[in-house]
Amino acid sequence: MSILFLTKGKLHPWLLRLADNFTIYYPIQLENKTHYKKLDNTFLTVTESDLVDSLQKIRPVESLKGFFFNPKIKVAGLKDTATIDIPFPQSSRIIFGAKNCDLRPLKVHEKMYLENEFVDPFYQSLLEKTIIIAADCPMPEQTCFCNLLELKPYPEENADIIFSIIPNGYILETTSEKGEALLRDFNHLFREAKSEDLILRDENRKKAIALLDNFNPNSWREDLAKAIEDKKDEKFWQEQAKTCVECFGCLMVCPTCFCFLLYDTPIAESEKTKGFERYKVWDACYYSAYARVGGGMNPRAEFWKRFRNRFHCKFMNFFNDYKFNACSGCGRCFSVCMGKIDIRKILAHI
Amino acid sequence: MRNPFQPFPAIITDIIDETPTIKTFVLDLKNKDFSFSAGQFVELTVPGVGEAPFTPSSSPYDKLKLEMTIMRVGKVTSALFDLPVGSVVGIRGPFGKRYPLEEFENREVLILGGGVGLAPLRSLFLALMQNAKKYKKILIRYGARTPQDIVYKRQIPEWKSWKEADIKLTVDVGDENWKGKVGVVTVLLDEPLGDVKNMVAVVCGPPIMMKFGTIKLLEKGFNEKNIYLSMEKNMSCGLGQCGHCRCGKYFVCKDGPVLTWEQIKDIEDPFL
Repeated sequence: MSILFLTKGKLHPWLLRLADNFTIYYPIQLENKTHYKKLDNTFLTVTESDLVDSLQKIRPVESLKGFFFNPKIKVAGLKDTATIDIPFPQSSRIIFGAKNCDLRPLKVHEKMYLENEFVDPFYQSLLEKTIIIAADCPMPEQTCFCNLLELKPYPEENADIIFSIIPNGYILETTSEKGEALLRDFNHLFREAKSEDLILRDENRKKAIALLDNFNPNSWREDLAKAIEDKKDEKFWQEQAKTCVECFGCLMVCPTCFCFLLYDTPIAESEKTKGFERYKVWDACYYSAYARVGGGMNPRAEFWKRFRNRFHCKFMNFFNDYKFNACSGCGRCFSVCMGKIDIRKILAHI
Repeated sequence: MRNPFQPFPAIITDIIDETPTIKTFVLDLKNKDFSFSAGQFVELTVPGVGEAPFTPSSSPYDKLKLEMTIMRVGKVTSALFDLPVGSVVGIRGPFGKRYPLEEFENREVLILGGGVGLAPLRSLFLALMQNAKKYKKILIRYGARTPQDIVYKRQIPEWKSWKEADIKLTVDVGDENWKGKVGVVTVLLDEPLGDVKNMVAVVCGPPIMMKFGTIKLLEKGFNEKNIYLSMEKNMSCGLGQCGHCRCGKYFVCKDGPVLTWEQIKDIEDPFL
């Protein structure tokens, strides 16, 4: 794998060139928030310094979840006695500027959707057709807590190229064959990164780590999964859930949440044609009917049990199965929370 | 790539009334690339209404048809009950783990069913009877609310005539024609059963029956790992992906749907 250097001023034209063959999504500041935007004609009004400013910010409002698992996707269907053929996505795309807290969720989803007896072909197809150029996160904010999840504020895995900003340009480190192949086509634009370039990169990274350590100086207990399992006290969970307004916003913005619902809608093209289309949509374990069965039994009829389930799922069951938590410390859940529920504090109290 | 969300179409060739609220639906499997093992379940789609999980009640050795005995309880089952013979439904699967029948060999197998819970156990019973010599004895202990609520009324007399099988029934409330035992299904366990230390028990029924059935079996001396419980959870995708059937550390669709008492004993209210 290679570590290459791109001179300042060449990033914007390089992305434009890439757009000849790929659909590109890049982060950009819109009304003081970072969002992913599809590269189109408006990119000509974006300057390289706009791009750099956006890349210096923390993760965009949207996570990567929707890129691979759209909130609503058609997955199956029957028309009369024939199955409806749903093609798997085929377009090639590049996602530029993803942060490490949005890469860890991809690893979570790979465990659930791909490294399983049954593979989700829609997810797999999108992942195969996507090149992720992930970026360092040099300026973590108060809402960030990736360090508590033993993650670094720069990409480590689940990316094809790792992109870092240094004063005179950019460092691009390939971490996959897909990433290597992409840069190979633009050899003339890059030179090998020098050791002094890497020193600058490391300095930025150390500063970011120091910021995170300052925001979140105390680690959670080492036996967190076991401690959560042992925390059976109903009053504790009710107290934590007290200010929750049950909007489920935390679960909808969570990049790692993997739950979904399959639901069918009838198709009736004519009176004689019968059938249905099946959609896979994002779901949330806070819904009262989430675990209810046809006969009416509900293992989590009380809200505090559903609230607790989020902790069981992310920090106990998933950890016990895969030895890492299904949380990346992106902070979206409490950024949207009307009840000001901060999972960092809850986990610190367990 | 295979699409695990896509069901295949199957035609309902017969509908048998079992009780006022339970019917057996017979699906044509001819020319279908489908087979299952006892213990596994399928997702059945009523087109345009939705999908729900059911364990087949026919023998896994029957490759021509798939039978499912179903109680009318919710949205999908209500729509299914409105379908006439000849209708098309969708089938996905099979999903989940099969019974480890090789571990049942040379032992007595107790099938303990309550109400419509006998439906999935019938599939196991027929699979066991296919190789009956491998097992010491196959016992069925079945309870229903009233004589009218007993499923498979037409087949039970024949099953009783099979020498490898030992079948006893009870009802919670009898009627003037009922000459059998009266009481909840656990009363049938008060009688001597056999070598309970080595016996395998397979239980399916309503949650309250599962709970007290398990307690009774443990009292009788059954080993925790020999009590197989058919768990009813919201098995939505069947693939171990969607999260709905989470029960303790298990996804019931992937790790079950049958789990042993040893596996679930530490789970808070496992039968809820």
